[in-house]
Amino acid sequence: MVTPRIGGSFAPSIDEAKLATYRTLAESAPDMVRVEMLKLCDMVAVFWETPRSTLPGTPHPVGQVQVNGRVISTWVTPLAQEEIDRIWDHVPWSSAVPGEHLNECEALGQLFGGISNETNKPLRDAAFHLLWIGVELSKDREPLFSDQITP
Amino acid sequence: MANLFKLGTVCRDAAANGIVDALDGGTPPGRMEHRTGAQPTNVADASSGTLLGTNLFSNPAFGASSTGVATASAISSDTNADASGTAGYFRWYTGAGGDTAALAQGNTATSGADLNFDNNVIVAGGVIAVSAFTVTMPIS
Repeated sequence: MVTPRIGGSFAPSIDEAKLATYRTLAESAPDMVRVEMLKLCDMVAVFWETPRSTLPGTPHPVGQVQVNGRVISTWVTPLAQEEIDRIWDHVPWSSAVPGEHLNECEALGQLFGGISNETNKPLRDAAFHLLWIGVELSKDREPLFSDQITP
Repeated sequence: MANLFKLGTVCRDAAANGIVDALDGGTPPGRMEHRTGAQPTNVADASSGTLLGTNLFSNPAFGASSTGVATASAISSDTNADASGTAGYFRWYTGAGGDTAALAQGNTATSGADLNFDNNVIVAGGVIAVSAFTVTMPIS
């Protein structure tokens, strides 16, 4: 019997100004971090080239959550197949890998986990924010940001 | 050696209630902290990793156990996560519990873990939600 213990994470929204800041932070990051962050920045920019999906929403896997004393039903909007195909090369993959290997999103999480929260918090926050968006897109859905569920 | 010791429903419920009722000790509500990295070896060990955020349980935290299963009442989301990182483990505390007074802990991942996040990447300032948590006391 599956024992349900379910959680969800919702990042703040991102705009062009924030993305530009993230690019600037990435440019001064160590080599591998810089390379991967800039790829994720490009991913966001490419994703923004087309309007949001208008497909019918489906329940978010986390279900109903309590936010600021209110019960919020969370929904996600799947991406159209043509959009998935369009951004495919830019999105890190999060599918399980046979054996004890990390998928691409997990590997990026390990890479960014090496950024100090104490001495380089802005870079760490930027990196994980971009990765969060990458994980959302890897699930072929519009990212559901925290301001969309916070009353 | 075969383990033929089995618990009946009364015992399973008593055990499950004993576990979850501990969260209501001290100054409730109890809390669940999320951190990066692997969980410490022992619950009594100091926490490791970066504190990403904290969810608050209801008071009381869980409903009464039924057939060995206790289900958490509503768990408040953290609407302003403390730090960014990949959630690796969680710990339970009473409201007034200090770090080395953790009640329980478990690992966090996207599947096959004690707590499964659909997206286990946490971003500072964002929301951390736990929508369901059960404690099951098995028959044996």
